[in-house]
Amino acid sequence: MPADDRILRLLDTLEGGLSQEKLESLTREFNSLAQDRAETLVFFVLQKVCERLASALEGEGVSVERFEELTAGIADQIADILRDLQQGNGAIGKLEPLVITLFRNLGLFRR
Amino acid sequence: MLAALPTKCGVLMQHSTHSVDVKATTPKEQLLEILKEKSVCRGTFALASGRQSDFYVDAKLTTSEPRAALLVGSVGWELVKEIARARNVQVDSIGGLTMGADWMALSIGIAAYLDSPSRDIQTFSVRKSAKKHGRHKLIEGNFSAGDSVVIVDDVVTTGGSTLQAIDAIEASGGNVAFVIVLVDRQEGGREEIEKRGHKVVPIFTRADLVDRNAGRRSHIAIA
Repeated sequence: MPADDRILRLLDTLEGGLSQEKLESLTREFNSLAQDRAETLVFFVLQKVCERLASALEGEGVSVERFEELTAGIADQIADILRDLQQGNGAIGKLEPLVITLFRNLGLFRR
Repeated sequence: MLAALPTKCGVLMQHSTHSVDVKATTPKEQLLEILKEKSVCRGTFALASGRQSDFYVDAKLTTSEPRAALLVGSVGWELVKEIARARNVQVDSIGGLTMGADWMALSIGIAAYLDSPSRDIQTFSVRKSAKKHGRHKLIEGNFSAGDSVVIVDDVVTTGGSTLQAIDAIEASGGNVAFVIVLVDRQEGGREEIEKRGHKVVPIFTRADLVDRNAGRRSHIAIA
């Protein structure tokens, strides 16, 4: 499958909101893209973000409120990065805000 | 003894802090009592599939408890023998996707060994993603291409984790004999797996866990 079709599929996946199963599937696809595409760092960071979130949700009875806290803003920021890549724009500048959102959502942000 | 405990997710869950006082008689009834006591949580939960539910089954609290693990083993192994006989299939190994399946598979494997050491039933565990280094193994433990396996899972909702294990086994040259789940949440997962041609047999369903008396009436039909 051409790489851009893969990005389109990822954007479709993100449209319906996140879940643990979706995050696990996104983790696998970003891992694969990091090895297939030129934007290795971007896909590697996206993989790690999804992996961390999926791990936070795994095996827990997560309340809806906590789930919303954990995932707030993540899908939109990932979709924004993917759209940039699709248009041939670099997206490295958008990685730090994404990681900050992740850390804030997980309650790890110490700054 | 029941206690309302704050959890990581901030939801008050009712589950036991002490050993369950089991008054049920058969192993299956005893297991049902432990499941109800330890694993059924109420609140508003986001499930792994993204769906919301007022009912969450943390089956690992049961499958990881030594006494319940013995019961999972004996009930599960009797079921494996019964279904294998009815469907005339061989069983070489038992396992599923980590970590929901892990304790359950090993419990059933130990019960199989105690019942009949010569059968040499093995157990395995399927990783969620292949090991990144070394041999890139997706299936850990005792599985070989050509094995006829029983896939187990602690809870089935959408069927996603069970299907992931089935895909891994089939991609590695195994044959899935049938599937056993500890709890079928009755949300379509069983049907999704059966659409793929695999018989799914739940030990309990959501109805058993919700209705305090239903377990004594529950009957497992084998096609």
